[in-house]
Amino acid sequence: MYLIIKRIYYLFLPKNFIIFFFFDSNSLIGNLINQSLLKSIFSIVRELDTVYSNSNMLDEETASILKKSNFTVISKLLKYKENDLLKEKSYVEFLDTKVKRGNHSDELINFVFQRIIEESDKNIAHRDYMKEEEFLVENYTLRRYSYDVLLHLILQNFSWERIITLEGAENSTLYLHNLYLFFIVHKYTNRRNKIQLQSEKYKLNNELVHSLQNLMDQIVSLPLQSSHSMEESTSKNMINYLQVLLFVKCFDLFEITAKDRDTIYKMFTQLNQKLYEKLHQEKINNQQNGVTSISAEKLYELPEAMRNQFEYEVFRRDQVEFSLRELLLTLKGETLSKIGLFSKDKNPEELNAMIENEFLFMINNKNHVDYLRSFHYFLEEVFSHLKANLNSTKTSSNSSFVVEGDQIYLSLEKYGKYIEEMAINLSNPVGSVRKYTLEILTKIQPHQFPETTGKNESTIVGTCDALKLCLEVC
Amino acid sequence: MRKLKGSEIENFIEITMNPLIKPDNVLDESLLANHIAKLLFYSIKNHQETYTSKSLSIIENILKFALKNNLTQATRECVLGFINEILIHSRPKEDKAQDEFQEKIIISKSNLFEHFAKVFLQWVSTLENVQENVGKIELIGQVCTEMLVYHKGNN
Repeated sequence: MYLIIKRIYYLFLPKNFIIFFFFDSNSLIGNLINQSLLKSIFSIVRELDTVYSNSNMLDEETASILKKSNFTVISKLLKYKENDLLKEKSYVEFLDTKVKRGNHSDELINFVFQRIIEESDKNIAHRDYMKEEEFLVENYTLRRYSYDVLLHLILQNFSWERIITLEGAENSTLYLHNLYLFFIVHKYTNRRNKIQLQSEKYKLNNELVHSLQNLMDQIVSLPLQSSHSMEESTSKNMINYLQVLLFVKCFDLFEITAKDRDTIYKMFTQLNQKLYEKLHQEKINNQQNGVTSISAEKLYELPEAMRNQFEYEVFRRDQVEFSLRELLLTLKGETLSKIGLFSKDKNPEELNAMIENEFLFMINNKNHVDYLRSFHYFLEEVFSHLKANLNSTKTSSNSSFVVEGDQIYLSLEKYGKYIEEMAINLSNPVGSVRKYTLEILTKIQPHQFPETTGKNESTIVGTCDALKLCLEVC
Repeated sequence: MRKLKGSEIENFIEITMNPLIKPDNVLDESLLANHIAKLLFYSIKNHQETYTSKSLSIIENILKFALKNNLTQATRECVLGFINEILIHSRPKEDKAQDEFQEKIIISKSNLFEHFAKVFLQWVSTLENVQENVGKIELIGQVCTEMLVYHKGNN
């Protein structure tokens, strides 16, 4: 009734006014940007593009400012109105020509990345109530076309050489930054798929492998003790570190040739082994005091968004100094998780020895959240391979794992002694430490608890199930 | 402002917004921009016939003033503040007591911004000296961004 009265009321307004306001309110609630408004905004974008593309009167700086301004709007259109954009062929053609296939500088690509995944957008619904991980998912999960645009932008300037030698990059950290941001976008948007690099230019050659090896050696040889001053070379060392870390991370992004795969596997194994020895020895010597650290100020030389990201994944928030030991642990964890991807190339005995070795290392570093997470991914990969070959997976009394039905566990006999030590982590204030500890604990063979109730004796199965239940109840 | 005649609006906007383009060291520019933005918005909001043709004429004159005159930081802040006031004050799902009033804003909000876009588009398409108007073009980009960012475009 109210609507009818309202419409009659509008009929008494001037003619042009009726057209303007004759809407059912419900059709517009929650839809500020309708097709008509979108068309107007897109017309402005087109018009501005003509202004800076065709004007010979503009100096380079002005053209760059205008382009950035226009690309901000384009980025937000991609982020929030992709579905509507895809409905109109002319919009897609414009974006394909001007953005996706355009020849852009690293700086502009970085700008687009940041605008699309900007964390500081106002009015993100329920932002204040989101957990950190939820917020990252919200920001970094893109729709198909936006992901495709970013992929084109990143591949435009991509080569392994640029990561390893930083050759040809206008600004070395900026290029690493772009790649890292794409890595995060891929992680949240398209994790299950790998990008196929078919062109020759994407293959690793001996020279590059040698450079990468040098880079890895430089990282491993950094002094853990503070007797060596790192202040002057910190930035260079940080960039070297990030180069190696990104290479290891990006390995998961791309599908590479079998030959390159073998080369990389050897390098990763060596790097993991070297880091193992360095960090393990240092732990045994208990050199906790006076470790080399990198001041937070040095990190501010990195682009802001990159720093924020690494703060989440590598550096702890609110920390003013970053221990080199922690950084190396993160690198080792990342390398180990990638080694897990090669499980299918190994037989159960080799995997058995590797798990045993790495489990001990993990126990010694059980409070390091990134390492726990990486170790969990490593176990996941190994177990998924073993599970796929369940019939051929033989277990002996000396084996690290046991097969029970269609499940594979780490042997209770071997790893049961660590349960208590690991369980301490379940009261750790950091949620991720508790989460990954539990994930690892649930991979250990459940313990049989005998229980007597009256005359009947029954058995309750499950060390870790019980722990999980306790945690859920708490 | 609602009691003004249509022909008086342009002058009125000139008088209200003039302090923004003539910096006065005594006044805090940011505070001034903020207050003028609110004054302009609430003068429309208080009108019984929210977003009538007269309201649109007022809005159009605000935008034209910003595009016609020298764009100071205060003018930029005022225009963005004005747009944010419109965005903030038209949230759907308000409580029932405000429904009748809010609804009128919600109904026309999309068209209102379309009107903004048309004013901008007309200005851009007739723009002659780009070099001197970079700031204004950036402002247009910012306004479009504000609309898109608002509640994730409400999609």
